[in-house]
Amino acid sequence: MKNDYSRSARARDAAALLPVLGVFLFMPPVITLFVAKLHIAGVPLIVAYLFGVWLALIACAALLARRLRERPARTRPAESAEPPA
Amino acid sequence: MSLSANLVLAIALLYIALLFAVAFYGDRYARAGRAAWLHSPLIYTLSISVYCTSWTFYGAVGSAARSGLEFAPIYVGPTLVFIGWWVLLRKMVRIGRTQRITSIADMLSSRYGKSAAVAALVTLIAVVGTTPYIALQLKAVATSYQVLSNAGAGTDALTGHPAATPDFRTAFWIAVIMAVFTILFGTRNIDAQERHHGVVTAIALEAVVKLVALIAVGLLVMFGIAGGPGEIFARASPEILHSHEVFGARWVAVTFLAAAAIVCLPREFQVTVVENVHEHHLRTASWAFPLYLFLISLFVLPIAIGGLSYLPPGANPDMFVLTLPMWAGQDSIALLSFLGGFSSATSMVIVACIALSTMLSNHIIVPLALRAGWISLEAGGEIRRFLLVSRRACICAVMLLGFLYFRLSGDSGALAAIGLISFAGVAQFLPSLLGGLFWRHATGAGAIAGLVAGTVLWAYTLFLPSFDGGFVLSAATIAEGPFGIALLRPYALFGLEGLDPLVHSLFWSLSVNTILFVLVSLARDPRPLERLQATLFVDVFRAPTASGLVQRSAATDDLSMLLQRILGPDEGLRVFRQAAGARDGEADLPIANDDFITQLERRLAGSIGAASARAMISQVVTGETISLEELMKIADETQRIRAYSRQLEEKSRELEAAAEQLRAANERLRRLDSEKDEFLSQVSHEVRTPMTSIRSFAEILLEHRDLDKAEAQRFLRIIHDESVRLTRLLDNTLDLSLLERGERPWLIERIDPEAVLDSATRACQGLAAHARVRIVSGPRATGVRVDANADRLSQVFINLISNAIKYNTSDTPYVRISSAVHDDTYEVLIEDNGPGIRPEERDMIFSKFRRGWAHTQAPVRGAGLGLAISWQIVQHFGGSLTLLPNTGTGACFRVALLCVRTQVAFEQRR
Repeated sequence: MKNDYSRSARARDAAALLPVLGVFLFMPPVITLFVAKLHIAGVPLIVAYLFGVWLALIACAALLARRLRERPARTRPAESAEPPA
Repeated sequence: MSLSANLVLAIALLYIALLFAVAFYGDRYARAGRAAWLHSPLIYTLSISVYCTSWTFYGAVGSAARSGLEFAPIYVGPTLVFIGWWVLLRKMVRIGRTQRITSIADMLSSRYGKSAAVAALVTLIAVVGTTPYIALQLKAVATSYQVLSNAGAGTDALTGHPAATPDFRTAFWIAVIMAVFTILFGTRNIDAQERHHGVVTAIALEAVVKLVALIAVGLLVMFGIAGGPGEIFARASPEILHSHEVFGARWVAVTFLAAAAIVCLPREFQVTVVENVHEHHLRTASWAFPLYLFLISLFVLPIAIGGLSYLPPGANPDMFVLTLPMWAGQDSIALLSFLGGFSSATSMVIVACIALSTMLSNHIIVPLALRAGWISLEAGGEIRRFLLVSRRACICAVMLLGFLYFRLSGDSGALAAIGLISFAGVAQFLPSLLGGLFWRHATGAGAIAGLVAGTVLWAYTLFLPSFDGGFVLSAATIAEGPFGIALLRPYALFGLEGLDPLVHSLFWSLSVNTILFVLVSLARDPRPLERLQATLFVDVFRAPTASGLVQRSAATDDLSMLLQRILGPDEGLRVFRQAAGARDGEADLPIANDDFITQLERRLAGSIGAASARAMISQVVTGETISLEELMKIADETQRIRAYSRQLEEKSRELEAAAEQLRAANERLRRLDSEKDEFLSQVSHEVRTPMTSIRSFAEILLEHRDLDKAEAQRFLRIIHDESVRLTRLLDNTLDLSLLERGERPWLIERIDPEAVLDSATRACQGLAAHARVRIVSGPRATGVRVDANADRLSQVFINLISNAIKYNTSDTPYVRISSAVHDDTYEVLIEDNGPGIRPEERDMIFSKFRRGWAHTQAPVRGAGLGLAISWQIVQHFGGSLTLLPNTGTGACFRVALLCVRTQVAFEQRR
């Protein structure tokens, strides 16, 4: 089991990099790979791909949001100060 | 058909009444502190969905019907921004809360040195970009109303094309109602940072209505009209789904544009940053808002395909959402769909009006009024009233502008494209915004240069041509360039041909915007206030404190007056007291310092924006300077890192030293421990020897009754002597422990230490003679007085001298005694030429139970307590007993005591 610091640091990095993964999957040329006359249970492949990736990204974001909630405290002391109300 | 115009109108009015009621009670409950769910992340997420306007509700299906998946990037872009909330949105919300930001214009202005110019510029761009969008909403409501209320007119209605002239009357009244709603619930108080709970609650309700409506229509199409997803998609034409062309430059551009819009649109900024109640709500919204977008988009394609396949050819794709349920005879779903469209239009209009009116009144009207002297800080009267009135007037003005725009362009198709054009307009804020949040060196001049150039290019290449020659640019200019200069054609600027107009405009405007922003920023150093604000923004998570950076002061009376005039007397006084209370009643002082002023300025900024707040505060503040040196210290990355590592080094050095001390102490303890063990056995031995002889002689005396008297006397003498030795040993031990615990009070008097030294020397003469040790007298001090106890001091001297005699194994043994006064210190040196103290024993010599001479072959043995007792005694007198560093043979002990200052001179005598 890794320590808490590494756990929350990884969650933070993943949260920052998740949109990069999204851009990669949603942008050409990757997305054009799925423009094919294939159907999955009656749904065209490209539609299934688009909405599937979309839902997967949302699920990842929800997981990461939970992970970041568990460790709200910053590990860097300078970051921990609350703003003045 | 059962839907009459009157019924639709009645239901629409009922729905509006419901919105008013929800807003009213939402506001009331929130004020009363009840209904915690009003502050929940769910409400926050739903309010963010004001992003989905009627352009989404009706337009997405239209777009899907025309070009398939092209509608998707509008929702994918915001999804990417929200799932990446940790990087951008979190920072914006944190800054918005700490700096009490009131709008996107305020954010940029505050970041660039509270610049009024930046604020005004951003406000103007936002108004230009948003007004057509409001017009679009009014048009959508009017059109949908016409389509639905004409349902009885037969199949014509199903085409979704309204009557030749749009229903301006309906649109006008909708605009009036929305203005009333916004004024009632959006301007309850002037602090824009104070949340509009009523508005937010109503918006959340509308978000639910539009989602439910769109899903209901989608389910109707997919499972009511068609037999499931398979049948619907089988009816789709191949061009819609299987075209590679969709995923070209336009796909990338629209995704980027939507991502930019979700942070730059004034209404999005309003709900995401300004109306944010708790920072952690963003965490939930990070996945819940993308989920909302996902659900909104899920049935767009099926509805579009359904409309294309079932409705008569030539039907308006932008009204499929409404006309499909009508075609299917599902009036209730058609009505729900109408309410959904109505919701998406009104929520956008309300929030956009609040955001724009705040910006207009804070950044245009108040600065103008200040400059023109309409409101003066010296004269009486309330600024607060002026602010409220101006904000309400701005709401009416924005609404009127939107309506006029619709009225003037209602017949042309110009409105249809305005969604993306508006996005491209506000996307001009992006370089300045991102630069301001992450780049310390970005300056206000750079932001202005970039914004102006970007906006001009956007207007020239996208906005103005969208009127098809109806406004400013003629059709000929659009086709052939101004004065026939082909190089300046709006859709092919500088010969860049073959691009989609949106991509073309985006490329030119944003690249020139960014390049100018960067170049002008790099051209000169930021002003001090810009630098300060840059640090507060860029390093918001490092919590830099601005305190001490700005030196300024103001009369508290003036500050209090200003606050009361802007916030109202009650609120102003309350805020002032609160701020003063937090600073230990500083209100009582006649002059306020910078911390206090900063706090009040920030509070004012929450009402009138950073630039205006600063302008107003500046009028009562004197002597404002920003300490550049201090600023550099916190602003400069390398400086800060250097300072940080210096601190670290210092700390680690301290730690090392402490560890070294600990190690030494530990070593000492361990040695002491073993010393103690050793001594305990020593003491048992010491006690045991006399005890043994006492016992054995006592036994002899008991058993041999016939001993002669002299013999018995001798044995008794031995028993007595041994008992005395034993007692002395125990006495010493007791003495020392009492000394150490400081439990023995002595009489401290002013005495002559020389007399004590003389008597001690005399007392040792006998011992010296016996051991054949010569006592040499060195130089002596005279007329010295010290505060001590004569008996105890004598004990010290005798102990030192007798040690020097007893353990001296030299062939010609001597002890040398001298004394002197140095700088108020009386010192006595007792030297001998004996074997000395071994180096490893030196630092332990004054410890209990030590025998410094244990290695010598001296015939006498002590208990090892003498030196420890002496050390304690001298310590008690406030002096010191030390062993001087080895100088040749023998040991030299030094007793030092503080002299009492006397005028008596001393002479040295030999």
